[in-house]
Amino acid sequence: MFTDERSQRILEIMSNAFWPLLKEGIETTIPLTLISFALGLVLAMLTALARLSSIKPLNWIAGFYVWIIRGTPLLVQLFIIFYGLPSIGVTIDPFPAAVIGFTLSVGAYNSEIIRAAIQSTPKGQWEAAYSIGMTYRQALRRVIIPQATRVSIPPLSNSFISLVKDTSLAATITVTEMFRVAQQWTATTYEPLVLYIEAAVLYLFFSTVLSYFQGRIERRLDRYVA
Amino acid sequence: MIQLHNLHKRFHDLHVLRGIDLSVEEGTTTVIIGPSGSGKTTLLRCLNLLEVPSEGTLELAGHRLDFRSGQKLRQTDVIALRQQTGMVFQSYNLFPHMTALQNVMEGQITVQKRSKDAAQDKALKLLDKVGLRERADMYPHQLSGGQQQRVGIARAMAMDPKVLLFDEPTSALDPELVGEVLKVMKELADDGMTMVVVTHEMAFARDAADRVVFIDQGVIVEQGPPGDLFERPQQERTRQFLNRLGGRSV
Repeated sequence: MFTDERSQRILEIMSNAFWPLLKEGIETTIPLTLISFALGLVLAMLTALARLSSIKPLNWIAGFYVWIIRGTPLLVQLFIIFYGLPSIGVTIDPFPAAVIGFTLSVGAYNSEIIRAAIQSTPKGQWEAAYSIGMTYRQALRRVIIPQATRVSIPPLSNSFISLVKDTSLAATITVTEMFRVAQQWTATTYEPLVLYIEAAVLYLFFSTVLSYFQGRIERRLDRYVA
Repeated sequence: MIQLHNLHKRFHDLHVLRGIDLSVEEGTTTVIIGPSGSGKTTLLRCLNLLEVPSEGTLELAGHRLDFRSGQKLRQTDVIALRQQTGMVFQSYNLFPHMTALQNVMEGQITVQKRSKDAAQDKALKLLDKVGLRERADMYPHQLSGGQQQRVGIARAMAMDPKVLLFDEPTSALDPELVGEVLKVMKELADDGMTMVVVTHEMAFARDAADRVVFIDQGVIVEQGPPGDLFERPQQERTRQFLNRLGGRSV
């Protein structure tokens, strides 16, 4: 398939590209994922509580937000934030623009996971909490959320691993993350197949490591479940 | 201790309680009996506002609430009243992510703001009282139904309630576990706890109740001391209900 000389060159490119790819993965892809996911979870929790609230306007605002974000492509959202907003005077740097885009996305999708987890907690748990005099907030914090957390870890992990991969979209708004580095190497070496496979392998590595942590958290939370 | 006056509860078109007048004296045990769907559980749940009555007056341990349809209760009134009551549920409803000990400590710490040490002391005493001190560090799923229910009683007692409410506390239990729960309840009754118990355990009603209330179709049909109500029921409906139970070999 490849001549000896070509094979030699490809190996050389792969080994030369490996550290720059890994470095950008660790310095940009991972932080972008962690920051967006953490902020997104806070947003998701607030959105879920707003959707469950008895205050109608809060329901509407939260429902509208989830509707917009889930109904439009993430790529288009990133373009609007990074390329669109400057035309009305809002200019955001690539990295923060990506964080905003991913946070909004994580917030919308995960709010549904959290809402479902809270609603799946048996009604008797609320009643037991109320019967010992707890307020709504105390019941939520001490009784409901801890149980909902356990239920929501697997779907939240799913969403987290999706985010690791989705951060490659940030390349399109000029964030220098792992995939963009692969593109840059391709542009100078004309070896797209091996470089993109190399990037794919690194994404696979990151997701695998993160899945391992998911398993550990689940086992920790499983202590009290029969 | 408890006074109900003309209490009504409607769920949309369903008129579940149709004017309940009831009074419960301090230190007594009142057992509520009646066919399923009679409104007895709803009545019990109205006492700690898990259901909010549609109409009428509820007075409990000095807290008086008037209900009118469409009128919202203040959260502080609800909490204040609930803190005078403890409830034991048919399906226990222990907090599954907490040990038996933590279940009994939780309300003391979160609601009553007791120190952790004080809460633990009290919780251990109560677990001892219900015979489960050795199981303090177990999670609910590691306990039998009867043990879970006894933890449930300890959890309710930990809040120093003026009134303990029991909602069919033995209905979900295997027959051989019923006795241990009834024994704890009888001890509480003998200690002078004010208790309102919805149950199908007629033996317990005879043995521990000061007063038995028979409720059917949302009204109190008849009430009195267990001797009178069981041996000389005045109303035809009470007689029919007791006969049917008799036929079911209670």
